[in-house]
Amino acid sequence: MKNCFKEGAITPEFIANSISHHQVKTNIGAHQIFLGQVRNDLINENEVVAIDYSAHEEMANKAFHEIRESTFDTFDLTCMHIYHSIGRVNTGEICLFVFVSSKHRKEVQKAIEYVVEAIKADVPVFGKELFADDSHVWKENK
Amino acid sequence: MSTPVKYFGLIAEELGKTDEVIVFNSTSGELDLQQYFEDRYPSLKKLTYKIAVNQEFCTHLDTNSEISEISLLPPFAGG
Repeated sequence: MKNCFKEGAITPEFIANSISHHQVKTNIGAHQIFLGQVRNDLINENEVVAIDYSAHEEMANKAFHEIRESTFDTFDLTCMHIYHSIGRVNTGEICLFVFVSSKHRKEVQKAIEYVVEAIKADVPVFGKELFADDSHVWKENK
Repeated sequence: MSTPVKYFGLIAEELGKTDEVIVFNSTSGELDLQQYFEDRYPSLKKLTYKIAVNQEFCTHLDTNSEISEISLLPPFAGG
């Protein structure tokens, strides 16, 4: 099973390379990309400086795989990629990269929302929000 | 039946461990897992979590079946 995790932040260079790899796939007419970025939330006047991600990696990769299968079943896509960070990601850095491609724009616009919502709800990834003073809280998707 | 149990995130922090091996009595039949873990660790009562048996979400354990892993998973925070 494919490993969707990448250690640390997902770099803009990695994303740019991923886009350029699709230029040979000339049947594609539309890409849609979602980038999740770590936000500097204020919690009890303490500012988040990073999130330390952990996961049940095997279960999470299975869940990513199932999301991938159901997305291909539901939408007419040419290809799809998901990358999620594991370990520390600082505020302002990218922690989730979802990339879907199709012949036409409407399929990718619907697919991206479906994939991102499914990731937030179904994938066992845990986030420890770190503050500058070394204290932390555990993040929970709403 | 010796079963590896894994704890994640806030659950691991609360219990002070990420894994252990628990021996379940195979004559006890069907076991309510939440009840079992909250009897073993009362501090879990105040937390929200899901239980997975063999990586599938599950509320009860058939102690006569083949179990390779139990996991306690706190609320998800991916994305």
